[in-house]
Amino acid sequence: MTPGARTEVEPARLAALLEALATERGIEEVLPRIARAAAEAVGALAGVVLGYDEGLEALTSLQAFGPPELVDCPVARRRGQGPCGLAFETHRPQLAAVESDPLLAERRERLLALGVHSILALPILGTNGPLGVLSLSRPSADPPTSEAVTRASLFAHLAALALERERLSERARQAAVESADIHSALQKARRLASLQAVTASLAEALTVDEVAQVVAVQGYEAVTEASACFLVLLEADGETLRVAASRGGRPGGFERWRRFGLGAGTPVGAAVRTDRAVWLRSYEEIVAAYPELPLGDVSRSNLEAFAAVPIHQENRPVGALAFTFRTHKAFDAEKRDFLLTLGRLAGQAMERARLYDEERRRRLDAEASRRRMQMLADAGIVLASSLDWEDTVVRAARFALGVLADWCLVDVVENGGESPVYRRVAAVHADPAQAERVRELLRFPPDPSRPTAVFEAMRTGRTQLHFEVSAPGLDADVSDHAHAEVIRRLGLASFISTPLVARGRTLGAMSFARSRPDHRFVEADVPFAEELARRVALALENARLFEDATRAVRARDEFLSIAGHELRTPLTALQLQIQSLRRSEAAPDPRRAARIEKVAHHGARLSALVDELLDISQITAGHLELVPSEVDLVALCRSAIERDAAPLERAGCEVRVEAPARLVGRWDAGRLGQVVHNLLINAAKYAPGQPIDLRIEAHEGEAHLVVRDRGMGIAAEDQARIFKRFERAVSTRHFGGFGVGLWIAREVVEAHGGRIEVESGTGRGATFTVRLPLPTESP
Amino acid sequence: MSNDDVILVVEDDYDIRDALSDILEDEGYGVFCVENGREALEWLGEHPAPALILLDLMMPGFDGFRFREVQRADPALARIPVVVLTADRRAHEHQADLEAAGYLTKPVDLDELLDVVRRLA
Repeated sequence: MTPGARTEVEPARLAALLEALATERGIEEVLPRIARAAAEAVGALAGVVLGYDEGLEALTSLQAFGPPELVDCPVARRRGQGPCGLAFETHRPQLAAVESDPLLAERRERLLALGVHSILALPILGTNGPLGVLSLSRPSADPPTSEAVTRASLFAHLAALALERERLSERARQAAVESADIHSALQKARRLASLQAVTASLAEALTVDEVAQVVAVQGYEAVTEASACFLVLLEADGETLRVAASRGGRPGGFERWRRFGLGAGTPVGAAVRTDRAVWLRSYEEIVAAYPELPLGDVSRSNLEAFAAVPIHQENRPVGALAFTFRTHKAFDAEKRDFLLTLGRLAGQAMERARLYDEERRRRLDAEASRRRMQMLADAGIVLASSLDWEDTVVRAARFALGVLADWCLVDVVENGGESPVYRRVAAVHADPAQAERVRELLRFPPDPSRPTAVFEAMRTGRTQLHFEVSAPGLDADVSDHAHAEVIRRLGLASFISTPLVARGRTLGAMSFARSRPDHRFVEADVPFAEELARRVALALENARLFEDATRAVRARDEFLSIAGHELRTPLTALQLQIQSLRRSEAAPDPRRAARIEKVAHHGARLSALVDELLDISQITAGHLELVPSEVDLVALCRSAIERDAAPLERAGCEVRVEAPARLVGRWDAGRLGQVVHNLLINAAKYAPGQPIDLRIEAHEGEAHLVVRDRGMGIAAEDQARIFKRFERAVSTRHFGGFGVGLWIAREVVEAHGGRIEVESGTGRGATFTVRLPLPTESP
Repeated sequence: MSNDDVILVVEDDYDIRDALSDILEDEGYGVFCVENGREALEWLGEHPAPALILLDLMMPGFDGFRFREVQRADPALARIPVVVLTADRRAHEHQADLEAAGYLTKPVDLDELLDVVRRLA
């Protein structure tokens, strides 16, 4: 081909190339044509478009025109290497003759064998620098004309344009991708913010209903294009769903869906039943999947898509969160994730609300329990504090008010057995305004002729429960209108009647009543009622026992007193007669005289016993009165010894006295004489055959009287007991008397302001020491 | 009119009346017994005044205290000496207002009884 022959055809080719460039043909199409056009412009056998690869730092072949062996020829491609490298570096066309150019020395033989005698390398220059090289392999060694070079350069420019465009395209694509990434990231950020807003709102929702509300509102806000958001929950029966909250949609549009069955052919029901989310991307899909769905009044424009995600508590579906949309929705993975997350948040919040609810209820229960335990404790203290049982029972009943009941009654049974009498002893009300009215019930004690709950409790010994009272039923058969009216006015919605039982005996009944129907008794209240009743019963029993015991003791003491006085009367006559007998025998028959003496002795013993008896009742009744006078203790003791000479001699007890000449004090002579007598007789009783030491001395403002015997002694554990009334250290059979000698002695001594003590040990005899106060001024 | 030999015993217990009767009769006195204050007043209304009245205090109905009140209020009877028989050992103090001529505590000591009777009758 001659250079000139190209001139006419080239504009057309150029135009075609430009067109190709203008339309979005890829470089794989355009570049070969450019390479060809350039090659033909300079009469080259082949043209290769090389691009610069920054990573390799080398020029690589992009597209080419020409025979394969020429195109694949390993022309030096490195920067600065070969004519191509040089052209790239210098930005100027380079012509290299194969035979002579040292840059091509390596490939000379090959190139010559292929018929290439020169290579023209044209730089492909972009706006910001070289983009590559256009390498043309010529058969001729002659340099091309400058025209030809110019023409070829033109194609090099086109190649530059193509490459640049390619580059820009690439960047645009990347920018688009990046922008899509940003968009996506923005969307993610927005969704995250929504979820956080939802979480924050849910944190404040404490009850299940509050949670439902928050979820519906927040869900509606967070999900774009949602026409409505609603939350359904499964009821206790496990089969019914109810709409717990909704947002958006037509006002009242969810009314029809207040309650519907799980299997009613609804997408939301399906979500709960199958525990899987339901995604319906279009109205058609909805209708196709759920043909029975009554959509009559739902405007289609609000139902272009539907989604329902199940809500879990403890891994079980308890409901679902659903959305209706205004447009079709593809429900891509991100959207699904978002909605499923909302469902999860709702489930967690509900779980938390449920736990909080439970916790609150437990706390209230614990609080109520604690108050009741406190009540029982307080009641226990009150009940133990006093033996005035009627008063304490009323106070105990008051404890039940407020904590357990609104009003309370206590009935007792007296004279159990043949003819029991029922008495209402307490009627109390929490409201002071009702105090008068409730006391009217005191007039209506339980009547055995009517089968009332109170009476039943007493009769059966079992608590009567009437958690729900529809008509006044505390006294079931209330024929008395006044009675019924009182109960009606007090208000009776619920009551418990529990028997008061102590030690197997029914003492009465305690009844607890509540006035308000919304606050009835429940099973949990029963143990408290019964426990309080138990304590009241015990208190009652104790008080009664105490009363009985006190009465018994009083009766006994009265009897002793009466007995003493009664005995004294015949004794008086007896003594008179005996004494008369003694005197009347002027010249007595010795035997008769001796017998009479014995009778006199018996009379004296009897008299002493009666005196002791009367002493006991007198001292016990607190009527021990001392008649003090100036008494010489020494003289008193000596005459006591003389008076008891006979029994002392009979016992073989010699009394050895160690005493000053006198010791005067201000005491009751008669009573002191009694004390000395008791001590001496005691010593004779328990230490016969042994001497008794009696010592008297004054010591530091006290008069001491010490009586010491050498008998069996008194064991340590008995020493406190012997001073008690009716106590003996040894059995009753062996020694007569009432056993009160030492008791009387102590009462008398202590009434004088003195003390009496014993020092002894088994087998070591006993030493009794009486200390009496001596007046400080000299007599 | 007074009779040195007569003693009126006012005592509700039969055995005591009997014993007192026996003893005082042995001593040579004439003894009359009544059961209570009312009978005593009746007797005194129908008989000459005795030398001495032995008066039990604790009698059912018209007791010794009441009798003494009436007796002291009646000039015809007021001067008859009275010895009180009482179970109370501290009769002297507690019954000072009786202003009796003597106090004997039950059970009565024979010597004391004879002593006070001889002194007054």
